Amino acid sequence: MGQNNDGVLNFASTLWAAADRLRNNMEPSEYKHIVLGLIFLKYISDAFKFRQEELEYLIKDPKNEEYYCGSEEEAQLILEDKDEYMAANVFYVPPEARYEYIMANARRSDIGKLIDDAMDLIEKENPKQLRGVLPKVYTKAPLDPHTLGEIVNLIGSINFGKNEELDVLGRVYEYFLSEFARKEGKRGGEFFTPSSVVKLLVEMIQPLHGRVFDPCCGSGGMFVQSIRFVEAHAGKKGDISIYGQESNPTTYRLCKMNLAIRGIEADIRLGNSFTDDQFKDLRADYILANPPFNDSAWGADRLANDVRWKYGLPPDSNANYAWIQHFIYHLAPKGVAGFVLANGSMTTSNNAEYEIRKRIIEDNLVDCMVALPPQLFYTTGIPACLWFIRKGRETKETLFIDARKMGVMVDRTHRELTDEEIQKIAETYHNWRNKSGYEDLKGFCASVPMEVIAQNDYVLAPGRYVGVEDTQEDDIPFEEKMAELTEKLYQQMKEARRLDEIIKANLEELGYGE
Amino acid sequence: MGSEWKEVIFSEVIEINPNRELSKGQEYPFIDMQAVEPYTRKVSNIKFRKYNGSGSKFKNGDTLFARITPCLENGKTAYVKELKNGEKGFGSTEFLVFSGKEGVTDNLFVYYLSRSPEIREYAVKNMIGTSGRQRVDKSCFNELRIKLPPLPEQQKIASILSAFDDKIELNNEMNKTLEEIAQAIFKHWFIDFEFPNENGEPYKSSGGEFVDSELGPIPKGWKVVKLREILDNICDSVKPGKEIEGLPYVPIDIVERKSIALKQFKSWEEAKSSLIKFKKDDILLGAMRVYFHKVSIAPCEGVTRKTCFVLRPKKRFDLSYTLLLIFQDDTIKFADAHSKGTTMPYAVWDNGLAEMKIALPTEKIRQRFNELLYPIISKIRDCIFENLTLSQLRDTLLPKLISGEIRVM
Repeated sequence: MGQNNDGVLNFASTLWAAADRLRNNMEPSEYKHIVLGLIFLKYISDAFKFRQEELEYLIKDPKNEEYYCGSEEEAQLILEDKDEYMAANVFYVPPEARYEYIMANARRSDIGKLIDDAMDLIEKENPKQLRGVLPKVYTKAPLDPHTLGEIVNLIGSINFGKNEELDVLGRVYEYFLSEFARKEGKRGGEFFTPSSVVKLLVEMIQPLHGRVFDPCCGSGGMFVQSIRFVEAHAGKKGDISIYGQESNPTTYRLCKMNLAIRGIEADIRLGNSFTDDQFKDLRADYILANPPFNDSAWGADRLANDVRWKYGLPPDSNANYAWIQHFIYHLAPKGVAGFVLANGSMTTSNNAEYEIRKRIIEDNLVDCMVALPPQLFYTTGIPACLWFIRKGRETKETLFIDARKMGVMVDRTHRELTDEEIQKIAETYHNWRNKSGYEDLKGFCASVPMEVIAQNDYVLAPGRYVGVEDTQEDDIPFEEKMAELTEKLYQQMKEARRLDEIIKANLEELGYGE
Repeated sequence: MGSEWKEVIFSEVIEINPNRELSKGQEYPFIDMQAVEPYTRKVSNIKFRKYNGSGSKFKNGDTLFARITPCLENGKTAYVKELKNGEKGFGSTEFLVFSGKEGVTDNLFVYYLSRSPEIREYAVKNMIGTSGRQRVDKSCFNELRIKLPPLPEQQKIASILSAFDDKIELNNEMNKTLEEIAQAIFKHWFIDFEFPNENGEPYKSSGGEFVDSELGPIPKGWKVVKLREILDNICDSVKPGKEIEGLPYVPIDIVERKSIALKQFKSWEEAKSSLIKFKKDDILLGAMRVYFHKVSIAPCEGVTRKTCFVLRPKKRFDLSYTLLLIFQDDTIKFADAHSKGTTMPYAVWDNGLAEMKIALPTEKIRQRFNELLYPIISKIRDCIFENLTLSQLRDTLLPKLISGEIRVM
């Protein structure tokens, strides 16, 4: 996997660099839709083409009773039969929306309009999944037709042949999403959670069967990773059903495209989760989320009597505890929620927040807390933490993990958790849950009874409980180290004697004997 | 006997910026200006960096010659020999790269030649450009006439000078080993509590008794004390001038980070204000920005400034113990936490570091430790003195050998 992965990334980064050069004076936020839209178009065209080739093969195979047909006319009917594509979970793409058609006309001055029309045609063919989702910005975009044509050709050059490799396009899409997030800085972070954080959340809560919900789902990264997890554990996409809500209309559309590319069926709805909860009756088995950090003016006044604030009304100045209660409200009786929040959420002493935290802890809902290293996010350098809330817990202890020292810098300002580190954290959690092979490790993890948390003023910061790492133990035992050092020293002493002799002989030769 | 020396043009017998092909976008060993120290042959720190098409390029056997002010005047000239076999590297654009010509000049001779006062003074005089950004251009070496000995004599000269630098480099490496040994023993005895018991066996592993203390369990007989009970902060003020004539001057900036061995000294004439004296075997601790971890043993009597603490053990036999104790990360962290000031924090002694609590071993053990460790610490100190002598000898001989004033063949 590693090799392949790197290959795709290398190739994607070259493609990104080329595409970025064509950006002219456009803002990345604007340009994003142009590029991602075309990748989408290329993707569904390729998927369509592969299915068509497959059908052609079946039609010509005399042993295949279902498809084999003698007449050319009949064959054409099958090749353009929309149901044959839908059955294979592939979008039907009308001839004038196919990427080869667009590419053949890439030099026309009305290329922008051709693409907009193509988007329109695809939406009309697949209204259920795609209505109102695809970007129709190509006519109005401040790009001259020549540049647009170059971008079309560039994305057309992504060619990876067979079905199973279609995920390459998915990965390119994901890579571009993350690069745009990086470029857009603060604003980009709204729709993108760094993949190492998503991976960690998924590895921790292991969504294998049931309903997965993200009420602030952004571009859908949590879902993509969840499906990957299911598939990596020999499950099927259908083992989990996916629900998401997103308040930003453009991000919502990105998400729909992202999921469509991967053939993930999901119920994604547009709206503000607080004021316009689209899934009032949903009780999810798994909630994965990365709500905006420390959002304010979320509408506390209008929602004062809402049923969701079981543990108290959160202050309008900070939405963190509104999100936490929104998640708890939507959890099934044995459900688990893993989510990212700013560090302040673990320790806030704001009266309302402190009370809510106290009650949530006393209700025995906090399963695990993980302190993350700084600089993981594109939006902000401030450190964040992971909360894991679980209903129907048997233990009255909470696991605290301090991962603040983990991660490697991937560029000057951004850090990532490595796969090994993600494994280490997730394994610690699972061992603790299964009561097998878990041990407190000073400076890293501690299992703490509720009373002790109460004594610590209900503070949930792992640093408070895991203690300070023992003074840096170098792994080499004393005896071994001394053996190594003394051997080195004796060699150096021998060399010193040799050099002394040489220097002495040289000086004698120059006439300065002892 | 030796054949005749010839007068030649520098650039005709030495390749300047020779062609060393590197591929753009690939990583290579990289040497920046900071990695080259004045009058030091060895490069102290080679990093890796992506080559983007600019910079000086070199391989083993090449000389790096700083061409910009003030690095040129300071004598930043290094000899590259740390690269792997056949590997190439690149560095600051402010290096000129010199290389011997096959059959004409010896690489090491080229290095020592470029360190000779004759070449340096010529280069300094020929710097061009606006003040502050003055540098020497390689073209000026087209007019430099030098006297060149035959190849075998070049090699002989180079080997004589080289032996001094080899020994200096070895001494520095040996000092590093000695320091690590001292650290390892300190940790084994006083942090892991494996000091030898009456029978010479490691205390803790042999079931030695522990008692509770405010610092956790400590071996029986040990006491919790504050640093000020075993160390004094000596503040022996002194005026510049006659009073300190002939003493070495050790301001904080020449104290090494994370090494108990001083590597250089300045002259008493450079010492100006806020001076304090230290004696042989005092402990110098850089108090300004204490987190730089500057802890050194004073090799002789000398002068520093008040930006350093001069710490003296109350009992002479505590020298090794207290020196290594001050050197511990935890001590430096404590001093840092008790520093005053924000942009330029200073560690404070009274009501600061002096109040740090430690578990003090029995007198007997501390004495035994000093008997074992003091020779190591003295050896480190002696190596440094030897390096001073070696470099003085080298620098005295170098111009005479390079100019042919002293003949070796």
